[in-house]
Amino acid sequence: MKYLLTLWGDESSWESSSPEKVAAEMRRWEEIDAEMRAAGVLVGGEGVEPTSAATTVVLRDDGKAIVDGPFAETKEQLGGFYVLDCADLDEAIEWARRIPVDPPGSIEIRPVMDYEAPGPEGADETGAAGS
Amino acid sequence: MLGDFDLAEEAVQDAFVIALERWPEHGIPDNPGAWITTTARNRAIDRIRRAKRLAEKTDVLRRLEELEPRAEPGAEAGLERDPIPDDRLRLIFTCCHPALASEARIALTLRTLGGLSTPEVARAFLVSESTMAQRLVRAKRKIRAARIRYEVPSAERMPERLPSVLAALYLIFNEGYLATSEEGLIRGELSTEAIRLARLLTDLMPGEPEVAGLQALMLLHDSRRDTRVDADGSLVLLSDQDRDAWDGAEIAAGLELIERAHRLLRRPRGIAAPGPYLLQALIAAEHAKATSADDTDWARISMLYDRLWAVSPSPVVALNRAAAVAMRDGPEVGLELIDGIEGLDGYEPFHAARADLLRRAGRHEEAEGAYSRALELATNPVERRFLERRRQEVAGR
Repeated sequence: MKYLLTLWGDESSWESSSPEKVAAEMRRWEEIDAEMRAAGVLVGGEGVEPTSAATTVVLRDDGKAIVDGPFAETKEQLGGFYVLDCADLDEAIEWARRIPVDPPGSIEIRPVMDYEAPGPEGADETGAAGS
Repeated sequence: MLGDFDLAEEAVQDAFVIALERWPEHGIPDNPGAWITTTARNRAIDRIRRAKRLAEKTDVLRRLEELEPRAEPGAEAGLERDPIPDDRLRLIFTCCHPALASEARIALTLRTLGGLSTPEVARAFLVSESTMAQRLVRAKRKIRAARIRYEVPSAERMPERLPSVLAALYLIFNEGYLATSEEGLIRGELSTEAIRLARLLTDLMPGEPEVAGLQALMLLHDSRRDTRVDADGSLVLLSDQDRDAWDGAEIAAGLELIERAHRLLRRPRGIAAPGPYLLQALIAAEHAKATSADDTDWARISMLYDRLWAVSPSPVVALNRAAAVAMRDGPEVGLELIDGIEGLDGYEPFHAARADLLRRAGRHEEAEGAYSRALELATNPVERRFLERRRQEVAGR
């Protein structure tokens, strides 16, 4: 099953890095990339430019607007993503642990919708009590 | 190439369908035969994977369903029928997976392992039946949608996974422990249920000192259950409880578990330090061993709180430590410590403890203020009566 991992961190600390630090960073990312490929889990993944390069299309009932900046100001900003094909959540969590996001940061794991999955399962959907 | 003939046929059909869809748009590939074969193989692999995943996907949910007890009174929890200890352990850890919200973990644990029906769990946590049913449905949906793994965590992961299981069981115990007779027997039974689950966990994980520590802690607290509230339904302080009415068998069992935990700590890895549940059990044991309130070894309890603070530095631990130190060194010393604790302004026991120390220190006006603050936050009727009485005492001075 595929999982989208979005990577969040403090972009101001990325922007103030020295060239040596950036080079060392790149190596860590290349390493994890290689590991994911070797394990056969990497479906895709990219780093994204900081929020200063973001543009948002705001959709409201009364129209659309194009706005400079990210959709929301957040304490940690989106810096990149992976799509990994893992057996289960716990495997995705193990990969998330190894992704070199510096603290403070977060990696959100979201299952990708599987439109080909078999239909609804189980009567528990009704939430029947006393069952 | 592919062992299953039906599968192979189906896969080739798929490939033709894809070809019909794709080729008009993308053009015919250079080697159509090879393309069909490759596509067929990929589709077959997809199907196999999906079938396997479906089997796995439904496995944990099926287990959860199977083990839910029937609604008839006297029906055994499905657990007793289950001959495979491993499965119950997998279930406990899955119910308490960190990807599930804390209240979901507790609801799922009680429903699936605790032998409670949905209405019973709802009553225990003072929510409506439909709210609880929804909580359970959402939790199961998350397990399915995110595909939470149905397993006992590896040794490497155990130190970070075990605490949430222990925390869930302890929360269940506390819900029942703090209940009064007014709120119905079901909540008293929660403590019993928590103890049963803790015992199950001790049986399944005999090598874990914190598991033994948790069970000991629960038994020692529970031994005092009958003496916490008097005939009028008023709260009886630890110092005023009739120690003869404490349950000797539970105390003995608790002390024995503490011994067991200590033996485990001395095992191969050398001498490991007690964790938070064992330390709390040791503190509870000090009360259990004291023949009267005056005999309580507050110096040792204070030292144990120092160690608890070292492994589990939370404001609540600091508060309890301050209360113990006050018993050893006097209320003024305790007050200095309490006044240094941040973040507990919305926590009723903080104000109740502070009020108590102010009262003992003779600072009655301040004590009255603190009791008032505690009353603003207190919801339990028995506690409220107690705090109200104390406030009137100090207001009189």
